Amino acid sequence: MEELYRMFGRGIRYYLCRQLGHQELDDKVHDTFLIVVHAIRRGELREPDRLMGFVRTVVRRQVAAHIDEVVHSRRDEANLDVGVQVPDRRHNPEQSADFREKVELMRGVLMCLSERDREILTRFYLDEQSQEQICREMNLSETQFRLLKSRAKARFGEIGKRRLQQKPLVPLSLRTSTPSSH
Amino acid sequence: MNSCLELLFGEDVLERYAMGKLSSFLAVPFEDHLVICPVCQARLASEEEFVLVVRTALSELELKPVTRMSPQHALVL
Repeated sequence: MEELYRMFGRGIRYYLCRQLGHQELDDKVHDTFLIVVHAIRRGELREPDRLMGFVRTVVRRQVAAHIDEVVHSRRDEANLDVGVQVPDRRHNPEQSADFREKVELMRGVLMCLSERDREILTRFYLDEQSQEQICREMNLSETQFRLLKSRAKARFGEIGKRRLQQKPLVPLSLRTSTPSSH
Repeated sequence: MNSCLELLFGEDVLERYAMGKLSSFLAVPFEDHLVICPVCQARLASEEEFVLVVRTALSELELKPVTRMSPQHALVL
């Protein structure tokens, strides 16, 4: 059991959390392991090589069963909102402040871009236009489009690293930082 | 350590998944792999953070609301 936890614990927790949220997460993870262990003890898993696939299947069944249960219980209860609740990732003030700081830094990065480049990113990330449409309408090659996105990501990664290094010493100001050599 | 998915699921797949735009044809095997791959969990977390931050920043600059956020964006990194 311990070995199974070590191998799959993190992944199962991650998957269940993404699909179902934080609520009763420990119980769900534990239940999943119990199912796997019982199945192994009953000899249902004859080929050890299939353990990974078997764990995946159990986890996916658990998710499906939970959603099914939620749907049924909601059908029985009137005046409840439809949809599985998912928690906000910024569930404490520290995370909110951290997120806010990153947004400010990103705003700085975006402000340094040309208006055209900013429009391209706006179309893609905010308006959710397809790459094909953006390239066609803005006369861009696929490579140019990809390059712009990777630069924005790289810049974001860079300021994140810099931020970690500088945080204890000085307040961050992107506009005073040295531009990347890339 | 990080050799697994670099070949199977590229940045494009991660990005589309993070934006809630990946077809179920690819999303299902990708999620299957996520269960067992810490490297891809970390890659996805970074991608999702980037998407969320860039969307928020752009929306503030453009004075537009952030629209059509997929449920995935509300989840924990």
